[in-house]
Amino acid sequence: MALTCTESDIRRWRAARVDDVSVAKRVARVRKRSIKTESKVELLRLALSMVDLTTLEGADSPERVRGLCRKARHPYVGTLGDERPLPSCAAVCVYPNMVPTAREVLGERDGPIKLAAVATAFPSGQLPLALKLEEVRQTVAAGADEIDMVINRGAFLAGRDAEVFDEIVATKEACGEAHLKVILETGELGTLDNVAAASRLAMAAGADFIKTSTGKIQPAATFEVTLVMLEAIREHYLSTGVAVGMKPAGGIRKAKQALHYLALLAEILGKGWLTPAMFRFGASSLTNDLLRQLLWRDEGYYQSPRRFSVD
Amino acid sequence: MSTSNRLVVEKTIKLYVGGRFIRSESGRVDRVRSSFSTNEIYVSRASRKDFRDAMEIARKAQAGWAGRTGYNRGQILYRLAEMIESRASAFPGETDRTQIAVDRAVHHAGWSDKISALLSTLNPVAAAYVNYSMIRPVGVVVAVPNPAEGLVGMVEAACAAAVMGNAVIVLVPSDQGELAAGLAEALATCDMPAGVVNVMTTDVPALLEWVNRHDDLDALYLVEGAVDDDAITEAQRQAARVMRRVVVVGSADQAAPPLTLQRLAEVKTVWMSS
Repeated sequence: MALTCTESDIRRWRAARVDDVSVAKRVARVRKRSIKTESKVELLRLALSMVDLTTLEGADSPERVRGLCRKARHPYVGTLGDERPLPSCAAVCVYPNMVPTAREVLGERDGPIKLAAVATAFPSGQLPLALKLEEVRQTVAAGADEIDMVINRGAFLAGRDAEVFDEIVATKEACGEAHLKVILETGELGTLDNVAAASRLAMAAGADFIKTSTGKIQPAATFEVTLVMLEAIREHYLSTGVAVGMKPAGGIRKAKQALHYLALLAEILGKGWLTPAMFRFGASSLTNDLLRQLLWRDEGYYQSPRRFSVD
Repeated sequence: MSTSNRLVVEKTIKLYVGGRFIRSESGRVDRVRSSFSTNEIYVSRASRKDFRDAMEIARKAQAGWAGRTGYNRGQILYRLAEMIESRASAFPGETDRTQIAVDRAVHHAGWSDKISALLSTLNPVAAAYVNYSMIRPVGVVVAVPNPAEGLVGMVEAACAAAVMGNAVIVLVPSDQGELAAGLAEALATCDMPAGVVNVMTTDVPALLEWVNRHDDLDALYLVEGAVDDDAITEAQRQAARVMRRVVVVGSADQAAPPLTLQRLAEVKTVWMSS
């Protein structure tokens, strides 16, 4: 039987009240943290292993996607002094049309590097549900391990929460074995209260991950919305025992930002979430900055960005 | 109200990076004796992190600066001369040297739309090709003028690098903070795009070690006497590691001749079927 929601569920989700000032203060405190030496190296490596290497452009060509897959497997050609191999990225994230191409390079399903695809009329989501579900089914059949769906923001903002809920439930069903990440597109939700309500809704509907943004709308991922979403995940875990993952995406370009996201994550959700299975960065240029910082620590020379492959 | 009753407006001299006057991210300041009064002044001391940040900013600014016409770069350098001229009263006792600095900026402004004509060539080749060479900026330059040459040294280094279309970070010892601030204030008002010329007061020999370790740097412009010979040798050794250009010049007594300016550029040669 399909999952349904009641009026009282909706009232409970919508009852979220976020104190913006306290959120800003807490974010400011986390962003002042300076993580150094060995801890920094370990966190940089962890962040690298959490990257969903992403390309979502109209100009994406098969060769670009192949290049991206190769980069996800071996982010850097050389080795570092401590002789541990650098981790691979967590996943490659592409448009549905590029899934077969990426599958060829990444090999079997559910390998060490996951293949994620955006679906449900990304990025706007403005298409009839039947078409969106068909898109999801075809994308999974083509070989996607993970589906990044967008919620129907128009319905959410119009207060038709049950409709948003039902769409997520239907999408989850269409995914079958594939993991479902639900993109809230927080830049369009307006307030942190809405972000909290949408997070609760998405998790109740069966999201495996909740994700901030498509990257197509500004502002994309911010520390503030991430904090609110992480708190919602904690609340959901404490009340249901279900651990939902988190993926901030869009605008995360610098290693330092990544370290601060990890600090926030560790503070709110603890060690259990400090793994690529539970936390991802939706990014592309972040990878090169992580490598740059790792090499700086390793070799003592601050690298030119020209040393790394352009993705 | 008599002047003695006035509240003293103390000035902390800031770094000039990306068109903004910023303190060091480290919060460090040096307390040094003023060159122009009996007071002591506070001068921000750039850290290696400030330098890395400035490198990113200079790198971003460089392409836009190089993309402007030589004529436009000349206009802006000429306006720099005007701005230094109007600030001459800020450097009492330095009138002569300030005038030389102004003249030097005018001199380089004049080269801006002529130097490429002088250094570019149509090459004779024994085949059915047109072959020509033209100059391109080398990229981001760190300039270390000789402190003994004061404002003239700073203006010479900054203008020589900038006129060739490079972005430049000028390193100045903290005890020359007032002169550096004078140059920075002139730069801020001369229509120079943010990030093209950056001025950082610091412990120069100490920061130079970190400069040597920044592999995104394209060229180092060192004036003899600015740092000791060992430091110059070390800079050359480290530069060899990444094929970085090191331009060592004797002094700022004379404006850089075209052949020195050429060392702040790359030569690009193009073959075309005729």
